[in-house]
Amino acid sequence: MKLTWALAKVAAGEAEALEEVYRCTGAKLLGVISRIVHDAQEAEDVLQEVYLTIWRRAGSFDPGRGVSPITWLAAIARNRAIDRLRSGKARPVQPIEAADAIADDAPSAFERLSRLEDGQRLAACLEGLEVNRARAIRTAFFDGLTYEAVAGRLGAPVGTVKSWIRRGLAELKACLEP
Amino acid sequence: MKDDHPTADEGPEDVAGEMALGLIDGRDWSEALRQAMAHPELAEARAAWEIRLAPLALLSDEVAPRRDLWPEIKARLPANDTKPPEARELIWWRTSAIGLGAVAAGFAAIAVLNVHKATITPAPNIATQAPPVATASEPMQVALLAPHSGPTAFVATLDRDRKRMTISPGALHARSGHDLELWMIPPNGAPQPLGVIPSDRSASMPMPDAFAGTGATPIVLAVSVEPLGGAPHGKPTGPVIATGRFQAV
Repeated sequence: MKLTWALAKVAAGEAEALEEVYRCTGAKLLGVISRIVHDAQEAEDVLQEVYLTIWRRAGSFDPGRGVSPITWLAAIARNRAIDRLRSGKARPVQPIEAADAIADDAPSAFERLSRLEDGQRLAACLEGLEVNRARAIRTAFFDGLTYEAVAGRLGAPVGTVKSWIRRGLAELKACLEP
Repeated sequence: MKDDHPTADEGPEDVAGEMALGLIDGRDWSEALRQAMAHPELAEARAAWEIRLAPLALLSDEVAPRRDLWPEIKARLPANDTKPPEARELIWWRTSAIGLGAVAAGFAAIAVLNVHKATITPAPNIATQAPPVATASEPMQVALLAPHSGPTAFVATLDRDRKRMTISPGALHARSGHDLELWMIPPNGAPQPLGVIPSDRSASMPMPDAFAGTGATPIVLAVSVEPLGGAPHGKPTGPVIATGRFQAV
């Protein structure tokens, strides 16, 4: 509720409210961005863009849609991070070492996800997917990898990965919006 | 030239999911961004996927920003802004605001190759509501610019004989503190600025060379909300509030 009010005040043009949103969410959103954009300085640059975007778009956050503010903010952060990565401005780095603490540790990730405000249904739907499809989607998502990189990571042909992900997404959508 | 969808065997929903996940790069990515600009429903589908998957992103560990980052962000807030652009005024497009925001995000990410701005002169003598009616001898074309769901926001007319383009506001709530900027988006290129346009009267400008050919044009016109004076670096920065294409009348 605190964030919802703060966003409403941002929409009314209060810079102090944007600072409040930043204080509450800056570290979380920088964490989201840093998974995709690995250069620390570049990630902070994207974080700046994210809060400027929030400043401009706070009026379009609609609490009546059943999406929590932090989910909405995370979606903006990921959008900006992916755009930065894919527009070629960021140097793509693939930390194979960190190979996917999150993506591979599925059971604990599902459990953590299901405890998040908007995560319960997503966790249940992901868990219901065929195991290869779910793993391909998670692997792609966490690091913002291309089809080729996911294929390399999972040791499967690109065509196979493409079909896992497309079918997985179609099933996921049907599960989330029955 | 490619058709409405990047390839025949994939639908917009596939592309939207791929954009949200970040699965495509290079030319495919540029093409997807272009498609998202020309087809707001694709941008909306991408935004919907971003919202659906966002809880997963929140599993990432927190990373503390350096202490002096906030003052830098604050310094970048538009100086004379007492109200952020999308606050309340353009009620009619708020229903699809997330999608339009994504359009704007994609819009801003594309490098603008040509930053030449055309000079626009007000043309108060032109009707603001009804598009001019073409006579048989005039190769006139009309474009209705509208948000994804909502009434027509602008009517653009192309008079090839006189080599003039005119743009007139339709259903549009006037707003203070920001300007509206007109862009043209060629099929395989970046948005090119055509200049700031008034929200309360018609404006006329020289016809861009790109429209010189006859027949239907694949070029998309778009209007975005920008700081006063227009987009500072020749790239769109604000939300796209209306898009459309010329059709023969």
